[in-house]
Amino acid sequence: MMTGAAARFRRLMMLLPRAASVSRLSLATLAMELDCSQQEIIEDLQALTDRFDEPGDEPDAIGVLIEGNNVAVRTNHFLRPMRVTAAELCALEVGLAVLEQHADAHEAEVIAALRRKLTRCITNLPQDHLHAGVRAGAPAGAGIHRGVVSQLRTALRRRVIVTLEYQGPRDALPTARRVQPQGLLLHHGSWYLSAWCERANGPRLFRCDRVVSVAVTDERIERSEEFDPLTVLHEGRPLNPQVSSSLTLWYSPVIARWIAERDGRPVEPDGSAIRTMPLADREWAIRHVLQYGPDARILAPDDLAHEVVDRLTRMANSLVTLG
Amino acid sequence: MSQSLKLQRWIDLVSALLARTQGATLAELVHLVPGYRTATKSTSRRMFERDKDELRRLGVPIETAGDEGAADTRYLIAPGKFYLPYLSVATARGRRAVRRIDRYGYRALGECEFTDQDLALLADAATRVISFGDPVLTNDAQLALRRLLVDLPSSELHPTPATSVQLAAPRANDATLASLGDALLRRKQVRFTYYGIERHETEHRTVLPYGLAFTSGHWYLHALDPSRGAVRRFRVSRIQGVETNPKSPGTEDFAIPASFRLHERAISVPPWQLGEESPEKVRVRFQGANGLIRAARRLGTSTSPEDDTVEFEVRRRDPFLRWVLSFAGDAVVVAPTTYRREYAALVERTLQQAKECLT
Repeated sequence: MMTGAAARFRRLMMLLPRAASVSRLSLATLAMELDCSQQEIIEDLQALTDRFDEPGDEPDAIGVLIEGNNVAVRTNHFLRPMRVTAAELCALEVGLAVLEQHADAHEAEVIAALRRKLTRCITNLPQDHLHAGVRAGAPAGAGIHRGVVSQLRTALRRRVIVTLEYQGPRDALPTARRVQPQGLLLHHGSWYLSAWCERANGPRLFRCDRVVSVAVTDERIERSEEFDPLTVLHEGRPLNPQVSSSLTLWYSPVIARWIAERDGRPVEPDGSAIRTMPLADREWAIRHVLQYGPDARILAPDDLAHEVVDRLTRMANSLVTLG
Repeated sequence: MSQSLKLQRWIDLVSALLARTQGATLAELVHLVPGYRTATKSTSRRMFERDKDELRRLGVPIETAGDEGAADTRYLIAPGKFYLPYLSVATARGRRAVRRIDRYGYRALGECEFTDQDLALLADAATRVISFGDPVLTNDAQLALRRLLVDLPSSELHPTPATSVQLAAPRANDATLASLGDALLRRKQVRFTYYGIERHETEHRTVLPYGLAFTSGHWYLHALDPSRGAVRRFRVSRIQGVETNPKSPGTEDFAIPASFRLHERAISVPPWQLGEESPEKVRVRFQGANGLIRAARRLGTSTSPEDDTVEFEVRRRDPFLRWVLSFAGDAVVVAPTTYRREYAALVERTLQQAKECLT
């Protein structure tokens, strides 16, 4: 990140065109627009005017007047901002590539056209290649139908109801759900839609990789609650709100350090980890514990631990049958 | 004080070059830029060369006509390559054009037209990048938006509301990300200590950074590890004590091979697809077609939707078998035989462990 003269130069290249575009501008406005302090602006401008050297032969000197809380700038140069740099374009490009991952065909075309427009706004310098292709983002995994996330973004912008074709983890077929989107949450590589579900008549979370399609309606949402992602996170996991019981798990020393790294909590003296978490879905709990094989087991509730044994017994028997 | 002097020199130099269509020689610039005049001839040349390089790094397109360093070489900045084009917005309600400046250097600037959908995408792209928490990317994305906001209506540059990105814990350290980003751009070798969680060991690594990528909530450094002869990825939150090679700071230690494609490596994939091992083809039979299974099937390939078996490319056997196990009987490995046997053994071991727990 730039500091010192470089940061001040960049700031001045924004400050000068803005201040010179009007007869005078308040320092507070400039500071807000440039996301810096008023003192920094004053120091930047003073650096241009408080000269310790002899004036040059350049007749187009920059005139600065700081009067009370206002500033006026007179200059023939820097009346437009500098072009976007390759580094700045690359930062936007990372974001555009992320949006493109889940875009439908139409949005992908718009993104491609936007890229072409942005390249007309950048500087071209020999060192630009140093920025190209060295940063990337893929925050969400594969498995989301193209267009689902972009349609949901559209609905959130317009504040309208959508109809989801949704197939929950136990649904044999997708079913239609009319929902009022409240927010989108990206958590551990998965997108979740938080919405008011008209069928359930309550708030629900929908994993976007289980949404088969989205139809955006023209019906406006009347509810006006602010989306707070913390309301859908329970012990750091996105869960539906109706959680009443808890689950206690033991993780062997082989995998406990991953668990401890993720939740920032300590391991037991023998290197294992014991964690208690909300039990929102028994099937989820079984899948969760089985993904660790013999390195995890359910300590409570007892009936769920028995269910895991029953399930494994059936699995073992069927494997014997299959040969 | 020295910072202000440098800033004055830079502004004077850029002003002088913008004002001259034919540019200026260094001898002329010495008269035009007071900061050079007070120095000796050799010092003023060194100052100018350093200023020129630093300004180019800041995005100022200083061009050279003639041989670098020759007395008659002219330096110039074309206003059309320096100033941002005029930006206008076309929406369903009409076109909003920006006021053009009727002066030398500004009349010939081009124009670029954006739509309201472009602006929404730009705002979302910048917001998404900022949410990843890398201070360098955040700064660059904010600066880009700020430049574009000069002409574009700020009311149209709002990101989609109520969209939140939760960073996975532990977060990458800001200073570590900044150091790695700096070394990456300067193509300098870095040395750091790395906690390898699988082996539960901390060790020194010396690598050539090829890219930084945000994948599934974490930042990863993709770098060539010469001791292993391969590009490896390192989770940035497990990196400590980054030291950039201090030798020859102005020169690049390496070049990133043209065949390296960060976006092909920076993909969010299941743990069993990670690693350098050659992939093996494994067939899994799924039972049922609920949402969970449909999502799982999309990670592999099947001959038809009716086919109940799906083929996966697997690089790491153990995580894959545990993933299949997590379907609690709705998925079973059918081929190859080695995988099938190991899967059966895993089911048996897990069952014995679960039973012991009950007793």
